Amino acid sequence: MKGRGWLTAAIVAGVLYWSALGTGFSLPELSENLPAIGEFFRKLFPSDGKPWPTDALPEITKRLIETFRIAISASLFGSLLALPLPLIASRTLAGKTLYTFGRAVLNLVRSVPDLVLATLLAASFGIGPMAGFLALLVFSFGVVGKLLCDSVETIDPGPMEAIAAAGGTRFQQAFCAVFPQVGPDFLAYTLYSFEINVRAASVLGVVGAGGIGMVLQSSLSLMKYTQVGLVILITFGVVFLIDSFSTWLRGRLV
Amino acid sequence: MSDAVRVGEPLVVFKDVGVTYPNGHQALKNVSLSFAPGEFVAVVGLSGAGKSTLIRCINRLVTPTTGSLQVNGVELVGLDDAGLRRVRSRVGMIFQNYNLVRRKSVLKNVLDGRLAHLPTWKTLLGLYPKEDIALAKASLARVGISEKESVRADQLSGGQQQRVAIARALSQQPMILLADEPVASLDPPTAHQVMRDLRNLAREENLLTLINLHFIDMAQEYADRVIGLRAGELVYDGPAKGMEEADFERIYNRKIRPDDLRGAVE
Repeated sequence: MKGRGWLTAAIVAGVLYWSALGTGFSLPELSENLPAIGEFFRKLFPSDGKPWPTDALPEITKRLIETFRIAISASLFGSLLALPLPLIASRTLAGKTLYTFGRAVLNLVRSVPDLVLATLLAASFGIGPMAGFLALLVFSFGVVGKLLCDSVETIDPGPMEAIAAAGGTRFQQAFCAVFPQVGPDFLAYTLYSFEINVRAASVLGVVGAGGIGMVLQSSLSLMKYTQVGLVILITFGVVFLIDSFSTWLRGRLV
Repeated sequence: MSDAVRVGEPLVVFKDVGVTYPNGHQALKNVSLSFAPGEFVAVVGLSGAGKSTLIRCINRLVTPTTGSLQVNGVELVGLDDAGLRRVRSRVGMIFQNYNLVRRKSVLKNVLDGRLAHLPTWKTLLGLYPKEDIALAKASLARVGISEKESVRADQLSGGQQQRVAIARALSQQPMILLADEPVASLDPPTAHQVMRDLRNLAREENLLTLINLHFIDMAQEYADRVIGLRAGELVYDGPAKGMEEADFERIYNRKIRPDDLRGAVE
């Protein structure tokens, strides 16, 4: 390693140490509390031959379906709203001034964490799935918009030129030459945002924004630990299945 | 622009046209030319001589920085967007790389030639008038690939794709056909076939056709008139028949080499 390499390594090590200090992380504390974590995990499972709290299943199912519906609707509407974004936020279709403005808006939208947004929305719209739906819609809009604009910037410009030469408008160039080229990308991004939304929708309930997280939150505060365990297990299984299916579908698109 | 070609008048008139690109490169210098309806013209010169710039001025994909350029009596320099689209709607263009939307069907690609006549909302809904669809199908029939209309464009060979592009240009019902190195990506037999097709179509439709060609033997074989450019200047303008070695050397600024020739069909 040359001098510069050592300098980089020293800086990285320094930053690591400084940030670890801030987290209050300590190995002795970790080993001391490890048994407590184990104890908590044991409480999540029924002991002494007691059954799982199956009476909670209807509520769990209802909230799981709600989670699913939040994720689907937020991903679909968010992605659809993002569809015209390349007209103002891609170098291919937008003029320089418009492009700078469009990208700035897009970056602003993506800089708000979805949980923060969900908390704010739950405070203004009231507790319930509406706040979760809106928060994830904004997230899908931002992430699909960004990826779509990047895709549009890598297309073959030849067909656009051909439509311009035939007297087509800028909008016709976008609709007839650009969008057909990014169609599969768009579907893949919509699915990708859906996968993230399913996971996000599962914790949204913790801030009161609807979905399975609502059950998790209430079971925790009532100290019904086996119910917490059941919610976690079911959520884990369902999210895993949806995630795998969506990833498989995306693989077939590209 | 009136829809009819004006009788007895030149169709395209370049008057002292110059093009200087933003990077300072002077691609055309004081070019004055005029073309009549039905002429079949080859534009030859080394790469970078300004061939592409010259024909792209005619549909203003490139805007002249000096001089004046009229198409069927309409001045292109300073023309507004709507006027420009109206001129472009009657000027077909063919490209070296075909410029088809690869994921769309052949028929959809040909219909792109009708977009200038389609309002935005109908474009969004894909509502092409019956006459446009009939015209697109007729154009495909004229280039002999009707049976491919519902095939995706990227499933076709290079020669077939170039024919789809020609059909797209024909569906515009053009009065001028521009072709920028239309056969440069094709093998020799296909290249000759495409050149023959273009010449026949131009004759049947009385189309003014301007074709950029790298190969001078092809220019001589198919064109009525040859325009020679060197470093942005017009150095030859005359009939294709009877061009001499010296004329070519003036255009190329050197002796003719075997790679300047495409070769005849075996």
